[in-house]
Amino acid sequence: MKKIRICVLVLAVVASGSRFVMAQAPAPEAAKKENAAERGATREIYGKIQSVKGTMATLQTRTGTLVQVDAKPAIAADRSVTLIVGHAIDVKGTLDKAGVLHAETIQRAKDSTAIWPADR
Amino acid sequence: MSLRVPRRMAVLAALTFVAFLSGCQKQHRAVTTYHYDNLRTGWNHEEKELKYDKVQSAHFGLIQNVTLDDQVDTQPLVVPHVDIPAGPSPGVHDVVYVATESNTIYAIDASSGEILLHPKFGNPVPLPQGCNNNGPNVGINGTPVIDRASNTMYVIVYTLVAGAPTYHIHALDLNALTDKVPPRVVAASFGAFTFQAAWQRQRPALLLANGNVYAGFGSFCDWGGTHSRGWLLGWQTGSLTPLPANQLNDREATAPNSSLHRFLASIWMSGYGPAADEAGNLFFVTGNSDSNYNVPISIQESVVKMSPDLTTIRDFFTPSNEANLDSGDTDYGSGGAMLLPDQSGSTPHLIAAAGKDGRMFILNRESMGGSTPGGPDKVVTQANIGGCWCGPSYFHHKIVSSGGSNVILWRIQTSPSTSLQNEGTSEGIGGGAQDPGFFTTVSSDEDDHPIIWAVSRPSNSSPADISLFAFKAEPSSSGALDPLFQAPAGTWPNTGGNSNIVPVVANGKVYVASYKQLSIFGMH
Repeated sequence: MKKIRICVLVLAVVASGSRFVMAQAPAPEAAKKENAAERGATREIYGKIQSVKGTMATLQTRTGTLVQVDAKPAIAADRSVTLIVGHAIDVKGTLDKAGVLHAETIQRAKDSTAIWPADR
Repeated sequence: MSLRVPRRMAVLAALTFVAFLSGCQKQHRAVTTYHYDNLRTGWNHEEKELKYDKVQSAHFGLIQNVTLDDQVDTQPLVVPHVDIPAGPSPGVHDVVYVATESNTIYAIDASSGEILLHPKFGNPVPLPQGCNNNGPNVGINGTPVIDRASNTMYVIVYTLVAGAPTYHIHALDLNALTDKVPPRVVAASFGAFTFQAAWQRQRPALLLANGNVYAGFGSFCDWGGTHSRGWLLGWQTGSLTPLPANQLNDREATAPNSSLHRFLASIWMSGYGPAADEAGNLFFVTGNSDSNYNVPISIQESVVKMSPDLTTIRDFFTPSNEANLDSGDTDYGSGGAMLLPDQSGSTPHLIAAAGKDGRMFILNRESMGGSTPGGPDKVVTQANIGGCWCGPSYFHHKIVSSGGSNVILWRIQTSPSTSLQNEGTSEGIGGGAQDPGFFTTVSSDEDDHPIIWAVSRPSNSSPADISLFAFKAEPSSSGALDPLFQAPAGTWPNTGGNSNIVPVVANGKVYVASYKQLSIFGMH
């Protein structure tokens, strides 16, 4: 079990190009600081839906990072597509301290990651 | 008696005759509606100049790029011999009309590319609701339609009025591009439901039929919950008086199949226009919904045959896997429905329509098949063409499909029963960066020199180039549709929304409207 955790941690370091919180692994210290600075800011990320539970979705970004998305605010504002596993989406919202992206809008994205605009 | 005068006269007469013949050969084909006609065949069979040898020659290519003010999601329209009353070059011109997302309508000399007029009909709506399945502006999104008998262009523009997104339908004088009657705000209701312009996208091309103009509406980004539903609206030509009845595709009060409480059943068809048959019946395809399927209360994922007065659904076809199409966002209505000219055999009146899942269904217009839960679907026949955010074309008992990234030519066999035979396939035309499919047209000189024209979607985001292709529509013995021509034809940098570019062939020219540009191809 410990070995698996270390492996996940190593993967998180390798993927440090990404600025998003790994959903199931602790982020390294540097990434934590960076994420802390970005929390509360409006973000836009592209990814493919890996799983859906109620109004929560797990999104896999182009770098492989997993991001938890809370779709409830977007749904309440009538600005969400249906969340379908495997579909590519573009999420705009606010990142909280726990690394959850609270979506203001969720729209369909093209399947080709090559044309996704840069996350911001 | 001297012969000198009669000989001169004879020469003069001969020259006059030659000049007359030459004048007779000049082409004056007009393109006044999306895909050339109300059947939406996309077939110009009066193209005298663009033959195989010419299109293949080094003398055919780009002759002019015209800079425009915004992205073009509409198909160019062409009218010969228009008397332009103002602007830099007043006088008679063959004119190509192009409508942009900045609500500008350009009248452009069809040969020289000179901009003759370019009135703007209000500021467009920037990113409606924040949706980016389009460029940064949405203005004129659906292709206008021209009534040559009254010299009128009908167009719907999207503007902010006191901060509120609003649609207006205009009837414009074709010469001056000025309003013939006051534009009318698009408004509609059906029982308790009211048309909400802020949530509705007017994407399909307009249709002129039965003395009316018709327009379909869908959503922005599938957003809008209860606000956004599929509508088909109509207005009387001339006065722009709205028809007494409207078609609302989903009138359910609840949508139990998702947490989004969403209805939709949009008419969007990637920009394709609703079609009309000789009797004036209207045909369109609807997209997904989260409400229960319940014809005629909610008619999602279906080809619909509608009465001209918009009061009655006369027939329909819904694939038996409708629920899966709905839950998977696999709209049947991503493609348009084309009506085929009369065929021989026992089923002369056919429809071709394909959607996101790549199945092209051939339907009998007189008995479309309805719904068959559990299947099999009651269709004439079907074929897989590749994912279709697209619409078919037709010529000489053949259907041209454009799903995936290949043109496929299908011969319609009518004996002993109606079936499709794959006659030929083109090379892939690229476009992998956006959704599968693209649009085609066909030119021919009656039976001769049929050429399939296609415009690819971009393969990259930067540069987001699009290209014009021409294929010989008579397959080789190996079943290949041989390429005749390929060249860059513009760009499409707003890749969040598909390019749905229809190449327009008329009078020896090919027109491709893309991002801020009209490209004119022809003989050098």
